[in-house]
Amino acid sequence: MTEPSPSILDDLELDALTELVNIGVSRAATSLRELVGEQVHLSVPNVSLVDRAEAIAILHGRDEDKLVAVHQVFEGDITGRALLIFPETKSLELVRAVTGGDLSLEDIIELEQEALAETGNIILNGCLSTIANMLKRSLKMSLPEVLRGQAPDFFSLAPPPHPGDVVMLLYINFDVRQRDISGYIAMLMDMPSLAALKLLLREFIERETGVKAE
Amino acid sequence: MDGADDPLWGVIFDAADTGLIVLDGQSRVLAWNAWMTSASGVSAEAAGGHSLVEIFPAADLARLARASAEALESGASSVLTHALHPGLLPLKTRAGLPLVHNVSVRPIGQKPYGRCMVQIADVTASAHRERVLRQRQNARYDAVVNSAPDPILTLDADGLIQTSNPAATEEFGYPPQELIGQPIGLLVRNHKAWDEALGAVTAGEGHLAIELAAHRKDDSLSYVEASAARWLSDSRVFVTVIFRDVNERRTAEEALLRMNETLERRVAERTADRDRMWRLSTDVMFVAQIDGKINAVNPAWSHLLGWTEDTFIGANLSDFVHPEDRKALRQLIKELSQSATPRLVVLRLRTRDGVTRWVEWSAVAADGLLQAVGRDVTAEREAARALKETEEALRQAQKMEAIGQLTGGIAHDFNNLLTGIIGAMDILKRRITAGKYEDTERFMDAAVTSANRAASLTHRLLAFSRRQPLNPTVADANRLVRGMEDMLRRTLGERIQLKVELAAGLWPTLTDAHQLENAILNLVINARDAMTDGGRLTIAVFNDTVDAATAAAETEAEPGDYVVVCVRDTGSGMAPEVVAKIFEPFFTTKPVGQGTGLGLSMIYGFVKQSHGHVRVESEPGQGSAISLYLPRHAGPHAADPPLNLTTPTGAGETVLLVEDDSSVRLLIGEVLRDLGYACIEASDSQTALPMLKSNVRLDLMISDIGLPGMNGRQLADLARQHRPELKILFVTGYAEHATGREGFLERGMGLVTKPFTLDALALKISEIIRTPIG
Repeated sequence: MTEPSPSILDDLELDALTELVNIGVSRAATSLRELVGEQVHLSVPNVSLVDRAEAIAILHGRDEDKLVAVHQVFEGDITGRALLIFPETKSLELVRAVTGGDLSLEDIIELEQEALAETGNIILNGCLSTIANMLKRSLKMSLPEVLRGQAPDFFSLAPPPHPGDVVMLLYINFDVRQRDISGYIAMLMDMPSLAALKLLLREFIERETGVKAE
Repeated sequence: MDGADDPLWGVIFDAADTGLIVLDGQSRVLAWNAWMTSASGVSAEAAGGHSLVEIFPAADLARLARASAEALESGASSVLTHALHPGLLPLKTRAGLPLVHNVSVRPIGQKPYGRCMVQIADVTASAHRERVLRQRQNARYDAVVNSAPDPILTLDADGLIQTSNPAATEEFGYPPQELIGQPIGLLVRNHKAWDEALGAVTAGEGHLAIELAAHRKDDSLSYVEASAARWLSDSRVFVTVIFRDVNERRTAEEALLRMNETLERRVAERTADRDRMWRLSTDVMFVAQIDGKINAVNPAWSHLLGWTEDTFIGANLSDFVHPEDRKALRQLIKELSQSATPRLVVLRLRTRDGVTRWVEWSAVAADGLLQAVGRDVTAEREAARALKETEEALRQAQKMEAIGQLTGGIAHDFNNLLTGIIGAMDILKRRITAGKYEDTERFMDAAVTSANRAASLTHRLLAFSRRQPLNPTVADANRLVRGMEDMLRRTLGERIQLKVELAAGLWPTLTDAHQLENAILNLVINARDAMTDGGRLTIAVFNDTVDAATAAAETEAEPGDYVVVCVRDTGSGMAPEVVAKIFEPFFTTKPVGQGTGLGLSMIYGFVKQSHGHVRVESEPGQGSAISLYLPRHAGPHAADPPLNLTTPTGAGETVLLVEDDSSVRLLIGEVLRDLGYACIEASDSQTALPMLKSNVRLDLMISDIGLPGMNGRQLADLARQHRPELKILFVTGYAEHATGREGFLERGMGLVTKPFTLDALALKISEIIRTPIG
């Protein structure tokens, strides 16, 4: 098996991945709706596969440098880190959206860290477990951890990444209680994991379409 | 897991200081550690085989169930925090207090996961610690904010109010719950500057300090000075706004403003008033610099002088002043610049047509400027001059008329008298020529009588003109009146009763006795004429003292001691307007031809000449009283003059007679020789001088005062140079030089006035010759 470049996922595979992710976040939306008690819409318009530098550049291109992330590690056939990333200024808004309007500012600030962790946990679990289930593979996921910092910090977590690591970057949009909050889901993988993902995706496509890919 | 059956794991499982639950593939409890038993009160035996939903039926465990399902199905780990799931499980601490906990769910072992572990972490202590910290922090904050007198609000980045202090409730009327969550626009409405400034502060740019009107709950306005500061909490932006109540200051400022406005209005009104007066005034007004350069003139200037206003501005004042008054203008400016006192001055201005206008100025210098108002008095001046001319003309006409009346009257009287004299003389001349000397006495008496009357007439005229030569002597008015009593009684007739009241101890008075007799007689005759139906006439003589107050009330009176001769009648009296005029010459209440109107005027002249005054009291129907106030004489009464019945005669003394009138010279010379004197005659001073210088014996010089060339008085001076002891008797018909004799007559000199009787002349000559000099 040759080492695939980051762009080895073809359009079909990317489409399939996008579909899987959307199924995942809609499951997460269901979980959030149960939690919040109101309608929650989550959508992922596209998925892009970039290297770390590109991912950092894209995140830097956002309005604000300071970011907050919910971080989880996944292990299995594919291994890596999953991050739900928001501008730090939006995190409180997200918490307020999740917790409702009854809490005072101080309460929200106090609850922010844990609420953010749980919310990110729900979304990331939704995505990852859906993908794992759909690919009929097992992924063991760690408990969530809240990180604050800038984009390069998030993509340089120990152990040090390999130069060939790729980032699957998903733009995600939340629509909760008339609040529209956007962020990113980033999945940082090494090349072997990506190759495994490609294989899994092809199997998934064959299974779903009955057509054996080239 | 290797060694899973080792009993040690069970001990460790129960020893763990955290809640541990193991669920099987159907989410039923496989294991339940001692911590769980302690916290939940549910034993491991009771829990075993049951789902958590069954164990905790009251709890909402949907999310927990899903989490365990995900763990079992796909190996996902989930966390359920107390933040989003407060009191998820009904757990208690050892002390029985609510146990704050987070729950995590993770799969156990490898896929396929037949079991998952639910772990319950006790975060009571950390949650409590956070709360205590927060409360402490809040306590400090609240202590400051809640006791602050100024409203303090905290806004989030969207301008929504997050906190509110009691002062805000006090100030704006909203309780905290009505403010929190509301936009700040509730209080500060439609304020662009505020919105912009707040936006800048929120964005971390600039600062905010604005005075504005905030809306209270009752919609009234509260004036506040707002300041704002941005702060961050975990990178979240907050803005704390402090509103300082400035209503009091604002009220004071508004009051001040209103006062200023009304002041401005009042000033404006007053200025408008002044301006109106400036424009409307017919008086000319100007403001000029100290050097005379005109700053402003009012429109009256153009009306008065004919130039437009432009001509005046910047020009010098002196350009418009009459050349003859420019010096006065310079003087005025000089005086004004040295004193703040306003000056009144008349300066003439020249009009564009070259006409001179008289302008009366009131000018003052202030703040380095001359300010003046001028009134055109040209018309007044012209009117005054015309009036003066008219008055002059009238006076002249009156004088001519008076002279006409006087001369007419006098000519008439004189003609009568002259007729008597000339006629008598003609008869005498014829009789003497014919040698018929009998009966000549009668005609001579007639001529003398007429001549005396003529003398009396001229005397009265002179008295009227106050140029009669008075011959004041110390007189006793009582004796004088007593001497006249018989004569007066005859004059008054039987219908009028005469009463004479003579005060005892009467002071002497210095007066011309003859004139006083004349005056009394005149008054008596007037009184008689006022009592056509008879009545009573009183002549009172008494002492009186006029004090200063009385003197002040009567303009002509001087304070002092007086002898008063009062003539009072019970006649018709006089109206005040008549009284006011009785001393005027020719004024008479009598029909034309019955009086000259000179009587009272003559009396007035005589009394004034004697340094006295006349007081008149009269009312119509109440009679009249006329009092003559004659000054008291300090010395004693004069002794009775010696009775001298024989004409004194000379003893061969030589007399030099200087008289230009040949008739008078002839007459006097004849008299002197008759009286036994030697007489040398001269017609003027030139003729007399050689004789005065010669060694010829001269005992007396009789000289007319009015001589051609050197007059009699000058001749006397020359004569005395040669003959210091020479006695001199002046003769005069016109006593201008002799009225008031002081200084005129020296020792050894005498005066006799024409006309005189021969006896009087003889007496005077004898007297002066016999009186030794010294």
